Amino acid sequence: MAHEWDRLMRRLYLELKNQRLYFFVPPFVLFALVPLSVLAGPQGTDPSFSQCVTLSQLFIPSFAAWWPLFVLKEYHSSPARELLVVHRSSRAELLSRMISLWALYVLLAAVVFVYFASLFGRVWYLFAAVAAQSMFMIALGYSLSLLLQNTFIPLIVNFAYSSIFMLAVLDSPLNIFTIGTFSDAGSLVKPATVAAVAIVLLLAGYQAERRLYTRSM
Amino acid sequence: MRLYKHSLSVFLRDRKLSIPYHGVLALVLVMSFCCLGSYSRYDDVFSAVRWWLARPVIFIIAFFIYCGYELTVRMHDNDMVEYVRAHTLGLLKAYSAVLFSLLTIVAVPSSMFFAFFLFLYQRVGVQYTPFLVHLTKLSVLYFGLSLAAGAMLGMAMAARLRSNRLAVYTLTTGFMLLNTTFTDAPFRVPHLVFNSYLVERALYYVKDFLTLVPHQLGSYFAIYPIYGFPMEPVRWVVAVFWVLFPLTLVLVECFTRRIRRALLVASALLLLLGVGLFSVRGSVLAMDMRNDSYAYADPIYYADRLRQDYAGYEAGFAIEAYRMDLTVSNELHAQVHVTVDNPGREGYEFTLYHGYILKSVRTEGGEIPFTREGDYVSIGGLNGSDTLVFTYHGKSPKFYANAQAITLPGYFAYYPKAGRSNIWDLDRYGYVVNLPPYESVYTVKVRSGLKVFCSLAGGDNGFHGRSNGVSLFAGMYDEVAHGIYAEPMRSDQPTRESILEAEQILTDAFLRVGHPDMVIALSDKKFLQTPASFALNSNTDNTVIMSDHIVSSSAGAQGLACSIMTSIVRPKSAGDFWFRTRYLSYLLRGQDETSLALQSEVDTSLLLEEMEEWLLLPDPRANNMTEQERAGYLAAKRRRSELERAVSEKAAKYLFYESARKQENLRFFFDYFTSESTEDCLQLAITRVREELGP
Repeated sequence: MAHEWDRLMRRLYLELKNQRLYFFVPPFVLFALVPLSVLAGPQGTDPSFSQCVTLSQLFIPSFAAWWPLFVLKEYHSSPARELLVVHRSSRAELLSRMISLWALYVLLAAVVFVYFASLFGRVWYLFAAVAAQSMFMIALGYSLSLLLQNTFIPLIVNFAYSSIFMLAVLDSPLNIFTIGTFSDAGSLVKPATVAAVAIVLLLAGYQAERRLYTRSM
Repeated sequence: MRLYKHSLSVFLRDRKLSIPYHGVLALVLVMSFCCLGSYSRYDDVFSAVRWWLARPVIFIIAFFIYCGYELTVRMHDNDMVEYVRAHTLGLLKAYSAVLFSLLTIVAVPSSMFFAFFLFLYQRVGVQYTPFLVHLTKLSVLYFGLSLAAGAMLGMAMAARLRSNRLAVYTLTTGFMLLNTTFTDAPFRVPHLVFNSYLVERALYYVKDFLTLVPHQLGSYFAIYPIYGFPMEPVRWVVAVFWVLFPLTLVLVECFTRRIRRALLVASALLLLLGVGLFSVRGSVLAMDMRNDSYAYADPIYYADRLRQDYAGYEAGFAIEAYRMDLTVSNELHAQVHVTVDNPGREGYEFTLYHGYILKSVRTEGGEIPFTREGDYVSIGGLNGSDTLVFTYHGKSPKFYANAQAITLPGYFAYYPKAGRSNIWDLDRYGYVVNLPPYESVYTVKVRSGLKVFCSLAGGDNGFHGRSNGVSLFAGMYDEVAHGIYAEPMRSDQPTRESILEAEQILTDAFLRVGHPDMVIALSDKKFLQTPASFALNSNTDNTVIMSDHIVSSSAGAQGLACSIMTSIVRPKSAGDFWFRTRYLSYLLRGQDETSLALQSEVDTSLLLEEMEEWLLLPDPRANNMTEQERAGYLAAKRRRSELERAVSEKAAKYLFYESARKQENLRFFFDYFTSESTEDCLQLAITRVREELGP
């Protein structure tokens, strides 16, 4: 089991390393873009928690799918894509990789939220919501990329979804984002639903992943 | 032709391309139906097109980047380039086939959009050719050239970056985000770090150069009928650039040696030309959150500068005549001849909005020196001449003049005005109505591709007459009734009847407050309706009455009368908003007699109690507070605000609606609002109520 874990982490490390400078886009968004944007309030106003709510949900979930989609690109568009899925031991590795990347991303986001907590007090309901939304975006990217056999369209869909539902259509039932105060446990109802939908999408993606191996064998 | 057919069949056979493509075609149909549904429901064609077609189109452009990239990159993925290059002009032929295939697949949704716009025009049912032309241009620029630019970008990325998909994904993501309002908050960061707007301007410069569809996803600014969707010449330049520039990059790959070098030079020249033309774009409608946008430019500019008050300033001379030669192209280019009545003075001061760059000031004897200080121009003596010639060019973010529309109201200093006067009123948050007390003779000639409507008499863009201010409007603007000018596509247009009714309401109000001398004749003046956007950042110029014409964004009789009276009954402080609004309503008899609020009488004892509480409640100050103090501060602030509104509304109702002395009260407060008194409005109202109700 420990050997399996080491092997998974080793492959994940190599795949992230393979992204070279593009790997640093999500950390840049998390550690520079989001905190600075929150601090720079609109037209000279002080930073506010509502600004933090908006910008965290706008940027953090949309860039959550960055690493996963860039990893998945190797499985759909690289010259060695056939080789990557022929080994029996490879089964469900993509799903475990998606979950690992989500965990890593949420861990980094937690550092940013520690900083936000020092500014605004209780931000942990918002953090839970952002973690669920990030999981949803990763699950959406994972299932779509396996369904469509490419990563370009899931990338466009990812940013289109975030832009449309965070910037334009706020009150749709299809919207995973919430414009609220995130002040009590009641604000976790929607994120819990989002997490459940994300799990369904991950499972759907996993079924597609298994078919991918069957076809390749 | 054969290659083209093959290339097209490759696209159609590939399920990774054809299935999403058909999905996008279905999406275009859905978007069109939703747009139609939105129009049927809200009767606002600009809003429907903006919401359902213009804002989401960036993702269709991104989809065509995908199509362009995936269709072209196959040659590189399969190492076909060397093989194709072995044939005479082989690579050029292969790329041409891909190019024409892409243009074909772009043409289908573009034609669908075009057909939909023709149908929409038919459905709207307005027989107004400029609107049809506007929709046609919109379909070509936003839904034709932009989609083609997307496909070209994808093709160029495949040709240059080959199989480096990570770079392609990153560039596409950046392009998408720059074409939405994702950038609003990050672009404010440089101001936070450097306390300067320079970097923000540079960032927006880059963003604008990459913006194919303005009024982006996330923007809540409306489209105003006089302007429609922004389609200034620079937007066509940018769209054509993003079609041609990627094409030259692709062509560079097709040749070797000398032709390759020539094409590289051509693409560099094209880039220079594109950036150069973009740099001299002039007046462009910027409806977003940037600091120099339509809504924020002037408030921020004047808030950042030393406050100067020129309210009582005497110019010491008057302007007898203006001869204005205006050219409106990318921005306003003006040569204005000014004849003064007092040519013997040692110095003259003029007001000209700071956005206009003054090139020279001349008299018959030649150029004379001048100093420019923001909105003000100072010159010395005229050496015996009585006429000055100002040559300048420039723009205002709000009062634009470009190839698409013109909105230059006479109270704004777009031409030199005698003496110094403020442009912006910081206290009232609005533009100062800058009009002289006398009339001048104006001769105005406007060179523009647009049909210009002017407050003076004339035609063919030439006008002449006497006034104390000249207003110019153009765009989707027309004479909708005799002497009434408005946007034909706007739902609330003024009519002769509504103007006459407004005049009657005002006359009645002036007689009630004992000021028959103030009665205004509205019906003998030209009426130019201003776009509703004028109220976006200004509280002061909703309606301005000049000696020969009126500019107003109001249309209905009550609204027009109210906005005219608002320009007379001026606020004393921000706190008198509720009381003054109610006062105007009772003065103009605009109150809704059926409303529940008027069905019952004011509980005077409760009113007195609330008055007492409001008087005793200190105005909270927020300095260096602890958390506990802060909570108390917020509670006190909230209570004070609640009381302020309740006391204002009840006191106004009692004084102007229920009181036996209501006529006297109306007169008293009219004199108060039109005087220089600095007494607090609500305090005065409380005193008045107490006097009537007794201790």
